Amino acid sequence: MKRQETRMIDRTLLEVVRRNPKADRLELLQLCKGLTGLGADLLEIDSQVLGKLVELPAESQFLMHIGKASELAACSEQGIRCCSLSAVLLNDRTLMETIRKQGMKAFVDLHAADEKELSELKVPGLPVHVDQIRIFGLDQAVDASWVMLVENLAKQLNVSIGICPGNRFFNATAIALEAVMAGLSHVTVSFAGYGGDHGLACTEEVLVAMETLHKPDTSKTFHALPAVSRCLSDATGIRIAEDKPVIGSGIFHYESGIHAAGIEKAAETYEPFAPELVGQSRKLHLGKHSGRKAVERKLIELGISCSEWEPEELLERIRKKSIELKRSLKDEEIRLVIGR
Amino acid sequence: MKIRIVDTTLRDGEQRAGTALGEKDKLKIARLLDSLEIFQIEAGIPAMGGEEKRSICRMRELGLKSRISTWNRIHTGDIRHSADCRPDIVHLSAPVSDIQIRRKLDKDRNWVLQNVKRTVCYAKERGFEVTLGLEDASRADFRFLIQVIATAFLEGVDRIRYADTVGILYRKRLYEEIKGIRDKLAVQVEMHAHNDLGMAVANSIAAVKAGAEFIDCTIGGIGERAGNCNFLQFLEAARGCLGVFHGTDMEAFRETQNEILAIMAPAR
Repeated sequence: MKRQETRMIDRTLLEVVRRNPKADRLELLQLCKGLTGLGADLLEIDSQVLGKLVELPAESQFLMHIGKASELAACSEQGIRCCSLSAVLLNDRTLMETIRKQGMKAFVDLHAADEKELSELKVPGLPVHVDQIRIFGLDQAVDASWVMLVENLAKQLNVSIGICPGNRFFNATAIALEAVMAGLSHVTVSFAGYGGDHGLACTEEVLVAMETLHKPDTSKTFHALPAVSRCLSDATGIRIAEDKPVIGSGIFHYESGIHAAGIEKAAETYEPFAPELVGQSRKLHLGKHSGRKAVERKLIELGISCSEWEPEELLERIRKKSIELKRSLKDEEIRLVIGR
Repeated sequence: MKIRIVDTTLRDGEQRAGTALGEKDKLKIARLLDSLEIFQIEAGIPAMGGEEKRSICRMRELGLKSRISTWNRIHTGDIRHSADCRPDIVHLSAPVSDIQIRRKLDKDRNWVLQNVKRTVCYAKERGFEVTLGLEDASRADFRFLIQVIATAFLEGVDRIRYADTVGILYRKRLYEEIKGIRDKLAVQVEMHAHNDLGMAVANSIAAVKAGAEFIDCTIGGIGERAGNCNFLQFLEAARGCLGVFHGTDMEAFRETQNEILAIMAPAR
């Protein structure tokens, strides 16, 4: 499925500090560690982030987003070898000459909303030492035909091209995945899709999608995902929704009789990947949609003899109580329903 | 390009762990869904009996513009329960992946084909419009998928639901699957996407591009695990990427969505 290894650029830190200028240094360092541990090849930062971190952790590799030439000195001091910049700055000869002298790899940022804009993209003349382009946007790319346009453009210009898809129309992860499957040079994402005007492709969705669909011989695990989620919440104050794909705390909760029966026999009947892959575990709820077998299982779990009860009658009581509460029942509520 | 929305908030949405609706709330929500110009409301599972069945039976009395459908296994007993509720459409869900057929049901492919034929005939003989769901289609052998669809088609089913039950599809593959079905058989295709890898909306748009005319959604995208295709997000994506639904009052729809989600929230 993958032709060449696509580098993953994670821009969570940059987006966090832009929106939360008071973000704590220790929280940012934890995020660094977590994102690198998950597999990010480059963490994108800017001078604001660098100012907070002060010293960069040695185990992570960084991409510095440059706004002006004076920011390059800090790159040299900190050993940062890669930078990103808006195409407008290509006209800044001092800046471009400094990049060349420092031997840095420069990613030039352009924008295209869809295939039409991509095919009409005006790429400014690139200095010979600049061989990376990053295209932001593609929000309106409705299918994978954009890939061929990018590949043709890359051949035409003799550069490597990657993307940073926007999530205005809820397809950023799909587009990022297409980039990885096509073996494009790089793809830029952020954790939980944090940032951008309408969100970005989600780091965790792309990583787990590749793991689930690619089925490699050596299995990666993403046990650190819950910890990284907490880091992001701590640094930004945002709450990760319970049903957020891959990292939501409720995504492995189940109740419906048919699903529960399937999961008991073979979890893969109703799970795309095991909860352990993403550092979570399964939880069975008892409620309106439960079946007989789930009730029996719960009784055993609570240490209550099944033989005393007529399962259908008990199921009916549980369903009634669940409808009254408009949710599933807690263990103590199940005991009350049973009369224990 | 005509896209019709099949809302499954009251069935797949309600299957989200910890969600439980009584008769009064289901009827309130059905009225609100009707105001969203939903083509079809999948009302629930009559075979569950009790208050679930009663609420579905009462839905007919509301005089809704939306068509009412019920969800059934390929089991004549389920159809009898549905018949009591007099829906517009009886939806039959057939497992089509070997994982589901063998591991969940301990059956084989022939059993599925025989029971698809039997239950479609049973429902048709009772005068119902029947749609066939292909559960776990995204992990099924494509040739067997076509066999199942053809079996149903010969018995008079002209709409199938392609279900990406565990949400593992991506756009390119989905497009190829849906197009492949439409190239082989003259059936209408309904797309049922799950959001496990964050691509339910993107996949639903891809399904429309491949010729699917019906898209399954839920309010707020609620459903099993990471949920289903989010109704409002799908409308926004369809407006922005396909140039449809431009006459929709999104603000009013958002308010109705919030009202429905408030009804579904647990009692204090």
